[in-house]
Amino acid sequence: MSVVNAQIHDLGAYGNTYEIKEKSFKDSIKEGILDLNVTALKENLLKSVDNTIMAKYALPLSDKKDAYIRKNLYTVPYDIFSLDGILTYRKGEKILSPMPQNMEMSLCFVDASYPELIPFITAQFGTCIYFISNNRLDKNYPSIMSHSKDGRIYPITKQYVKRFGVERTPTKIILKGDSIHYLVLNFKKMLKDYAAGELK
Amino acid sequence: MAIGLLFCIDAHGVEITAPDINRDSLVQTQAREKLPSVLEDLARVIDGQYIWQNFKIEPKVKWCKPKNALTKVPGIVAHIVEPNIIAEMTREYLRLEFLQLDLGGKFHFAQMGKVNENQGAAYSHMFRFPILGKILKKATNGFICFEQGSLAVLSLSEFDPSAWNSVLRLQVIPTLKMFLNPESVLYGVSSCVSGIALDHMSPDSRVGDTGDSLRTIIDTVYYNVGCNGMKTVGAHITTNNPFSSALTVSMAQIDMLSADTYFLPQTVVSTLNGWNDELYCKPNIGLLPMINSQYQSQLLRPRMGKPFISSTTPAEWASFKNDGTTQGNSVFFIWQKRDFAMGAYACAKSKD
Repeated sequence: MSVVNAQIHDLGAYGNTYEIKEKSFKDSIKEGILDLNVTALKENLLKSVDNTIMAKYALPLSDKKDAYIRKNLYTVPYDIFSLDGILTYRKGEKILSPMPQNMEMSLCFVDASYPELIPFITAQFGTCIYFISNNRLDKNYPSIMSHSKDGRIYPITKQYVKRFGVERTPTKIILKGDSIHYLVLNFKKMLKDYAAGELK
Repeated sequence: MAIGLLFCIDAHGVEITAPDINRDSLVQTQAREKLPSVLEDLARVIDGQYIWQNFKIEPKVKWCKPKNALTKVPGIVAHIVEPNIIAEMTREYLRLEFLQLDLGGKFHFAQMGKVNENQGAAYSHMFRFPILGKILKKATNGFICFEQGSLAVLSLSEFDPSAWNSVLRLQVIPTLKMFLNPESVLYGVSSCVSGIALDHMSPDSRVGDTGDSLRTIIDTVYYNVGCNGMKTVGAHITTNNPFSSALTVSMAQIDMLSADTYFLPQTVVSTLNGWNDELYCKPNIGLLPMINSQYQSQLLRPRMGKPFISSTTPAEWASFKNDGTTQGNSVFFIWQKRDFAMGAYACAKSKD
């Protein structure tokens, strides 16, 4: 009976033992939090927000007026399987992405580095969802605001440029049916005409 | 080699078993005095058991070839979670709820007006905040890898028109259309049940059963947020529960960032990446839908909750948490899981 209840409480230590010099993982975390420079964190974040507000993604400026139509094709970026394991969309496959029936949507991409030209551009583009580049989003753009579909201005991003195949600015695209209608203005000519006082 | 590595882990003070929590420890008292409220929350989160409970080592070895090395080196398969992203949903234009900053006024956006709440819209913000990588630059000596980087913006829905316009979001990511059918509701049930089951598996029971089958389900039906239903198409509030909506919206934003940008790397082996073994050696930077099992969400404001796998949103996730102090605004921590071969993984280097 006594054998069954026997327990070893201390096996003793044999040979050399060494103290662990490294701090425990948990203490390191606690100390790290206390040492965080909160002011620097906030400054970094504000800088990052500011970078977002400074719409930096620039496209080439157009040097000719153009109008063309392309199929609204989306390139699938990865394999997509259905629940039964069948490959539904293959990576790299181009699929048509039609708009809902009787519905169209206009997106306008404008370089805002010459704000004085924007009224002439918006006059030609009309009501649109406006994306700008090369200038701050928080500046006042009255002509864009008066033509903006949702009362807002957005930065041009790689995501939209790549998806809708926008190559230069200023470009208006109209998503309609299964096609994208492109209207590109001749920015360089507008700039020249404006300098000569001939732009109306 | 494997035994040698395990000894190293012990020598570096990594505690594999969950320690007792002392919420009123001296360190925390100091933290409260010294840090603003967000870091106070953070100290409470990180001092909790969650990291320890989710740090696991498997008796498996994976071979990885480090950069510029001639031969492969072995590493022991391990899993860890870390807080990596802050997600928030606010009703005010450019209000950063987690830092209590109102940037709407600072940046003179007054002309853009306020959200029309009748349309059920709000603003969703995502920030990268790899806090452990920041504070544990040396402590882990390369055996455990954390994300590196500064506090930075991942997305602000104020600057994405597809956040308000579902038709436009469906044009940006047309493959989302395949989820817009009644069957998706049923998929949500399987996602919900699997997520809860996975979340309730205690760490001990995961030895031998790592929950791969359950993870497969929640990853396969990736456009579902478990018991909360589907991720939103855009940033629209979908229910009267502000936290539930904030979660579905935040998960939709993570899905968009994963599927359409290169901001979020894949860090777990999943059915979605074809059980890619290379992920044990380094994260994969490529386009893929959100891997649900890679992320866990934890309500932080107005009251702190427990982290749950992204596909799990049981009642206790948000119950008794809305005390009205933030007027429906909410902040989450998004935890990121990492599968890695300890000792052989290509850890990101700190830039600080």
